[in-house]
Amino acid sequence: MASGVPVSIRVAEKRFAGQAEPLFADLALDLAASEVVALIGPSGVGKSTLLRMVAGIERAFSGRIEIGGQSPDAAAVPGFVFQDPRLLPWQSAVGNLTAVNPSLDLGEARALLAEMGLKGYEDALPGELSGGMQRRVALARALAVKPQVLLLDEPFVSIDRKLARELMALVTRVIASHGATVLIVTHEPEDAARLADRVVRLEGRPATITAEHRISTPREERDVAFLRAETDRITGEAEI
Amino acid sequence: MENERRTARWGAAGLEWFSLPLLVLVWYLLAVVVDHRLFPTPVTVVRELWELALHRSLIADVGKTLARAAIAFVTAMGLGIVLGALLGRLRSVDRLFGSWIIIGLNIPAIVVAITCYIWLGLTEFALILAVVVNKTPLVTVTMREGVRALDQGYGELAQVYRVPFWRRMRLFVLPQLMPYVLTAARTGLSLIWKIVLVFEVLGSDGGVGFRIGIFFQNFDIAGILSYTVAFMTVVIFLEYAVMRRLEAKVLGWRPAFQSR
Repeated sequence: MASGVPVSIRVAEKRFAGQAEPLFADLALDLAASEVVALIGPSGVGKSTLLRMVAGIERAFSGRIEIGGQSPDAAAVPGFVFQDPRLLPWQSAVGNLTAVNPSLDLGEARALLAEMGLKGYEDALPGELSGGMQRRVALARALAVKPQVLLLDEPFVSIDRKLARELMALVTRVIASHGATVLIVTHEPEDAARLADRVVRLEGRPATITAEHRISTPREERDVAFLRAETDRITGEAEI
Repeated sequence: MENERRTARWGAAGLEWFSLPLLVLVWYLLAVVVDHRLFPTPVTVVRELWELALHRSLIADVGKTLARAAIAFVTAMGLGIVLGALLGRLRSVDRLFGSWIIIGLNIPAIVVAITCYIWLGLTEFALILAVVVNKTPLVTVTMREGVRALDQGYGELAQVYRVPFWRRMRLFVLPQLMPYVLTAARTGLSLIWKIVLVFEVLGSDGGVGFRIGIFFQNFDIAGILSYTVAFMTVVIFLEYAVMRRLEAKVLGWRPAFQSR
């Protein structure tokens, strides 16, 4: 697995057609190599849009995004996990991985699925998998391109907390073992506290960074009490 | 659970196998009840069919009609898929040519056939062109809907992972369009058989329609039904040996298909 690269986001302006106020104006955010940054903020503030801009899906904006010093098009393909699993229903689990990376051999694809706890389901169609399994395949697919940058768009949304915790444990393992730079969008401060090295809060219109929290405690040492305290810090309920 | 599902599937398959013999039985019983020379039994028709196949031109006629239908089908599908993709993808092209498609859909088939025969003579080309002109708008409309229904989410997925164009077409786009292609193919086949036969009656030098026209002039109902049975046998063979297998191959992933 390739190790992470720094990401530099400079958005002079991002505006959606027909909207008076820009979504972003003079927004700057830097991620160090292999850093895990969680973006939090209210719905509609532009967290997912920012992620899509880094991924190269949203291109209509002024400014510059650099991944490892290169434009998103020139940089290595990022891993992207959408809010929904977005699996190709006509492809098997393995097929979904090789669809985005044809150079991935079958052994590697099967190993990635096994790493996600999907041993024995490699040839299953998405329709034959549970919702949680489909999300695991989506995560494996993001890793199938051996990403230097991993972009996660609310990967734990619309699922029950038990499944979310299982997936979070999986993502934590992935972060530790794959070493990519990670930008994760979430609306759950606890998820951010569990996964991130730094939590960035976006607010307002145009959206600005209103708070940043660094979390230096190793992920494996973040217990329930720590997460509760950190969540309070992030949500501003306790004095920083 | 799996056993129950398998039993249910076998039951459904059994019903399907029973369907055609049932139709023949109903036909036989009706023919016995009516008991008229203009309503022959299946036995009489099969005997006539055997005679026509061995000593007359049934096989050559069916072959000729099939060849015409195949050429018209392939051409209409090819044209319709390209036009449908253009109209579905480009709003301006759809606005400009959408009304042409409506006219194409509604213009009577017989008008197209007669016009083609008058302009181009009673030729093979005129017959096939008339069929293509009749069929293409239907394929175009179906494919336009398919292209419009393409899931943008998969487009984004391919974009993020920079999937090259042809790979994107093969793995992301075509599987979404296949239900529409198959619908167009199935409706197309049934429409083309009918149109080709009518146009053959109007003007051709052979084929099932041409021969049925002659049988009609002689009130030879056994001959008409023999040709019909021969042709329907080919159509049913195509349905089960080609269309259903193709469907199972390309649509097997759909839950609706799996529950069949």
